Amino acid sequence: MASVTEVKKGSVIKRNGELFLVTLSEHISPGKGTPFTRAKIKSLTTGKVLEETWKDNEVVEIVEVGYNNMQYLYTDGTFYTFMDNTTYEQVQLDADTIGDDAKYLKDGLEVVMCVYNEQPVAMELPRKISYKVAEAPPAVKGDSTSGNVQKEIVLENGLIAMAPIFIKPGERVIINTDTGLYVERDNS
Amino acid sequence: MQWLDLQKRARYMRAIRELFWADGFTEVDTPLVVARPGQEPYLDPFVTRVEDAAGRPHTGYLITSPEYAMKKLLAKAAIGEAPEFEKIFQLSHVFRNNEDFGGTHNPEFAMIEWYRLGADYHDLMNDVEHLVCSLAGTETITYQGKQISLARPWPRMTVDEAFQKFAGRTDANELADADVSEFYKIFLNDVEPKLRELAHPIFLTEYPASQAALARKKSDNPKVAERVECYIAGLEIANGFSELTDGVEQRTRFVEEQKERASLGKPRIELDEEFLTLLPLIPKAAGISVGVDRVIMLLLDRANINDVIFWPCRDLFDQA
Repeated sequence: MASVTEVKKGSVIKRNGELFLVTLSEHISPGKGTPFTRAKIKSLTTGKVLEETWKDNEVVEIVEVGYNNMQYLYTDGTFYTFMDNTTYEQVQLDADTIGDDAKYLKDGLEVVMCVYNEQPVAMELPRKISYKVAEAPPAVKGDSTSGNVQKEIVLENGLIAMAPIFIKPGERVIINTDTGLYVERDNS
Repeated sequence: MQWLDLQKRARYMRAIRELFWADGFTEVDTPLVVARPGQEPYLDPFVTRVEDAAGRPHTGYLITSPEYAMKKLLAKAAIGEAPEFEKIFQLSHVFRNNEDFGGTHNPEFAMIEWYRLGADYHDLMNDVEHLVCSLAGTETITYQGKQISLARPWPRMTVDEAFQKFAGRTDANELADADVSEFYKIFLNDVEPKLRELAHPIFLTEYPASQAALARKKSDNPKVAERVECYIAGLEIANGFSELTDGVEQRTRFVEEQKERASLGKPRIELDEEFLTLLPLIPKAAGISVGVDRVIMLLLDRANINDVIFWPCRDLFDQA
């Protein structure tokens, strides 16, 4: 058993035989008394998400999992297929497990796969991903006078983001997958 | 970080300064590196080494809040040595180690803190309304898909009432003394989620006396302290109180906190004797701090603090 303070986003914990992926872990210290860890955990069997608040002196069973670098290949809508960069073995995750993160996937994207008992159980995205801009409406003269105008752009994989008006099709932009927001133009 | 948001941030910082100056406050810039930081057992100040030119070392700490220094200035105003400091504000960064990188926290964050003589926690609530409404410039904001009305006055509720209303508990103040962890567990599990659902800001007032180490106890109910917190869309944006100005009681509370720090295995922090000497010179005062980054999150409708601050720790130290 481990202290709840060791639980991180991406940890897998086991409770009453059921595995849960920690999707969010937040440290809370009120003025006095024990600090707390607030976590969102997702059942790897049912997909159900629970919100929990643990006192920092509580313990949980953290399951040892492996983290393998993999490359996203394709999806048929129900399953997403990845290739292990070391073994070249192909593995699949279902759409429910990937959830909303699916929108960030693009051909060849490198992700970290969380593997338990040789089975992939969860996928971790890079925090910042560079995408080529597929569509960006032209800036209209006068847009910039209000100082803060953004426009909707469509990226190479269909992801839609709000970006500054100066962004043009064919350029690359960086998106933060923590927040889904445009970060900056990728000039690299 | 978003460059466009950061431009807006710069404008909000300027607006905050101008608002306080316009309201007759004096801006102060007390040290960020100090020898005697806050005692709060569950806050971890950053520790550093301060050396003079001869290399003589001193332990220095980055402030978790400018509170002690600002109250010293209030005392100097009260005795006429520095009358312009009877209304003061400081807009600066403060530092708390062992915090999350992102979400609603960053170990370094911006705080606007203000104090004035003769005020109490009711005045502070009016101040916070005035500040946020002035920055917003509209009656309604949308935060993460939810409409929030900023129409004044914002509702006010005691902690005791909140426990009754949201958790069905009538023993908030007793519980805080008997089992403080249970008190906070109920607060975090039952009360705080309800605050997130409100379509308006709310002030929680009158915390159990044990939960306010620097606040004055309410004269007609010594079980509670005149502390106030403000929540908007579940985000805790302000914490303030009618100041405790009894030097003897303050020393007792500090010593208790020192013991608690020791029991947690945390390094000892010496008491700020200058603060304890000056504190009783303040007849009556109130002060509050507002987390500026969180207010900007609300105004720009951003869910993560990392989107509204320059180079968050997540980017500086956590490249993975």
